Amino acid sequence: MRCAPEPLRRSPAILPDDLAPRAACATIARVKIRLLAFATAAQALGAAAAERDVPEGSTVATLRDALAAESAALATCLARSAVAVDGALAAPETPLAAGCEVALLPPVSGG
Amino acid sequence: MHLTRAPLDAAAIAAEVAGPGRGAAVVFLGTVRDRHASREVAGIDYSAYEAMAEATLAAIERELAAEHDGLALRIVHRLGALAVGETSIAIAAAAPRRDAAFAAARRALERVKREAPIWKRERYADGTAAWREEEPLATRL
Repeated sequence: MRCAPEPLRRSPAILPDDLAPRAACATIARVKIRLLAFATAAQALGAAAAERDVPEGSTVATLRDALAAESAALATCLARSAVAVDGALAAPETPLAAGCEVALLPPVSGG
Repeated sequence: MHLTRAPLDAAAIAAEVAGPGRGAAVVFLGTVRDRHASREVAGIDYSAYEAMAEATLAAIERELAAEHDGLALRIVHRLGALAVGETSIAIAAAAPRRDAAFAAARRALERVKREAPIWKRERYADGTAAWREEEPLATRL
């Protein structure tokens, strides 16, 4: 599973083991996700692909809120769009793990 | 392969589902229309979330084949810049009897239109263009 939580990384060897965890806890951990945007969502995002750092524990719903806050155009587009995580349609509560591929999918028109 | 940038060959796709026990074959071709509402259309650009669209079209084939005894089904969608009259989708359904072949071809098209992450951008004769948004993406019709 590409979207499974990653195992905790060992602290760098140069840091004493007891110092590394405290340093990591000083800020909320963030994870990098990949964004793909299609059709009008790509127009609204200004790119077909992008990356975002999201707080650990983010879900599709919290990412939607964060993206909607970036621009009015994106907020409008997201309101009518579905979201897929790693190629499968996702619910608002779907968690986002490091390295996830999140796709913004406006109403479709194939055929 | 369910997505291609090459022109669709209806006869070749029909041949893929032919079989001695399948006495009824239906081929549906969707082609680029020259008008949308009152506007003159010059062509349509099709794009897709390709990995997901591939998986979706394969799942529709598999699921419909499981619903009808003896049904063979192929769905192929074209991507890229198409001119008026070119085929954007070809669906071939072959079954022992006509009811299943007609029903499966129809159902396959309706499911593609709702479940596959594929988009058309219409190019008009006046030089403008617009994305078409028709159906909210659904997991299953």
